[in-house]
Amino acid sequence: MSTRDPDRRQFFARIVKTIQAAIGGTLGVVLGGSILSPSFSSREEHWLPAASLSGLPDNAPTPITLRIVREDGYSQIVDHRTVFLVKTGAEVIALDPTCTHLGCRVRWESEAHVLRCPCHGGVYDHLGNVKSGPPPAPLPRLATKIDNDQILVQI
Amino acid sequence: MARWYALFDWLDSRTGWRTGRRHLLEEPIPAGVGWWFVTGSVLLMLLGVQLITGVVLAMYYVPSPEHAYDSIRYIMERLTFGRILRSLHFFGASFIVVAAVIHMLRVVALGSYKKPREVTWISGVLLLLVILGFALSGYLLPWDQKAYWATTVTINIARSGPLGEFIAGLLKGGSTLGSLTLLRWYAAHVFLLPAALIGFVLAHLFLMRRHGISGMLRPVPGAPKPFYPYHALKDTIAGALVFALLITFATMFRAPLDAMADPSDANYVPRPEWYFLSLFQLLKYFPGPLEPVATMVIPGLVLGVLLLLPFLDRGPDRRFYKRPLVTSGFAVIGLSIIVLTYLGYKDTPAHANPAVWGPLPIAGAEFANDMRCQRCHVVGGVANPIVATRLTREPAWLVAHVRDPEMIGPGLREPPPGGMNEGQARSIASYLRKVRIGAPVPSVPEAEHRASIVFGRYCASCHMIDGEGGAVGPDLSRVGARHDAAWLKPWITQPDAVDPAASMPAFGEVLSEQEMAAIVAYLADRR
Repeated sequence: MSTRDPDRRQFFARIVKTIQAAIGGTLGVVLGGSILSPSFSSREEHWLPAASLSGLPDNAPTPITLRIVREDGYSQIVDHRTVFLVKTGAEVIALDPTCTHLGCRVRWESEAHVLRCPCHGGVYDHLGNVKSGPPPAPLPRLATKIDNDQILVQI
Repeated sequence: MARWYALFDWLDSRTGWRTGRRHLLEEPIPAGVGWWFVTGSVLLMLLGVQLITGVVLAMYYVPSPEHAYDSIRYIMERLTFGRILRSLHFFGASFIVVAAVIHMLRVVALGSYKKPREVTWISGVLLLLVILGFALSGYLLPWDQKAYWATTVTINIARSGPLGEFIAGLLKGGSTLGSLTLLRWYAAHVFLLPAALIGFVLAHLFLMRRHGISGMLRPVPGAPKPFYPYHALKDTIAGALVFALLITFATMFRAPLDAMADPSDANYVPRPEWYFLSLFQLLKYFPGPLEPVATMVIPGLVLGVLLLLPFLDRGPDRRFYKRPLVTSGFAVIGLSIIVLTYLGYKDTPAHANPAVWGPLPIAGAEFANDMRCQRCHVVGGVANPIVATRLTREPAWLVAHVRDPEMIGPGLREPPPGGMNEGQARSIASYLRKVRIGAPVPSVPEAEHRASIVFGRYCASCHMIDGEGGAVGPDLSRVGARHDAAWLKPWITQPDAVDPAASMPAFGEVLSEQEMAAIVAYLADRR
């Protein structure tokens, strides 16, 4: 064995590893893109007509169910989403009824005038602000706009 | 770094992985073993690519007739690099067939199958069968026209052999080719065949190590060198070149996807993938009762000869010119396969590209914009937006719905005023079929667009173009070859003035001058 042999061997080994890394890297990009892309794609947003402004009571959250066709991977599904519309004078806010604690759906209790989460007793006022219990934040609000007495909610 | 070494040392003391690695990588390779001996490694690399791309495809693919096609479209159109992913898997299959045949020919040319490597050879032939099994089961999975019809033919071929009905039933899984068939072919493709493949590859590699590499015909003087990195370098370079070619193919060409499987389509002419074309062509020479000769006897004989080759050719001489029978036998079989493949390829009819839009879908896209449709088919409306509609109803239902929307739910809601005529209904159905296969809306010249709308609204109830429309009147796909514009215009204006026996209604009063000019020019151009 000549003295140059270990060098040669190391050099060859390095070429082998480099080429294999290049093949692996190329495949990794293709496979990684395919595996990760749906996880980080954004959902489409739509303005949906929800109710007429004049028909809503003042300061009492009214549950409205919206029907939306949503992409679910390779198929389209019909999703029903409930939002609470609260009219305060000429303005309307739309509350997402998902409790900010662990994701249960809150209910409106008209006598106590609160939104209560049935899971762990979180309590919100009629505008979605936390009154008591474990929720860490107010109920999320959805964008609304009014077009000729028609309330549109962005889902 | 020192910590890592400590961890590796500990692992080695418990598992002995370093000894195993050394055993795998330091196989002594006799001097003179050159590029001829890279074929197996290239095949192994391709099988690896196929395995991992297959796993990622399985994250999205749905083995059901309702969803398989849509899930493949999702992979190709919505995933980042999804098109390349599917193309790698699709073209990878062809690369593997080619690489397997080259590897086999190398083994035959250098007589590497001879004693003591008979079982290594047999495991290789079985591996080739597993690879062909993958190819066969793989192409049903997209559930497109090619998948459906090629599988129908495969199952009918199985019927021609002994125990034919039993085997056909086993392949079909149910009384007809459908969801049960797809599920069992899927299970075979992703569970049974990979298990068999991995088992046979391991056996093949184990036997290869047990008997050592067969080496060159005449020993080359010199000491053996370890496999890694000396021969591994050649393997890696060859593998990288083949991989570069594969990724170039996968990037430049789109793996084909036909229209969705339609069991009622009588016009589709199925053709197998190129590697089965020779068998397809062979079938033509043995009609009727002789069919089993082509489907069973000849392929069975070839397979039998392959399996028994090391026992039929037992002489110690590995030089191919000293084994004239084997060499000429392989030359004859090889040439026959090449000639049959060529003849089969030449006989493949060009079938209509499902992504090309005829006049009906162009008109349908326009009609579907109508307020009568958009009233319900909108985001948040009572029905899905039309582009998001998956055409799952049968055509008759769809045509009836477009003509009379109220029929889907009488009394449930106010129906839109007035339905559409049958031609418009057919146009919308045709448009929805294009939407389903994801064919991009073409931009057509103004005159063709206008003619398409006229055709959809007034002609399609009775006439057909490119297989779509009504069958009351003559097919107009090639009408320009029979009549020119000077004949067509008076005919469309007032048919009974041209031929008193004509039963076609007159359109002179119905069409505007522009519409008449557009449809006449369009039809005269269809030759």
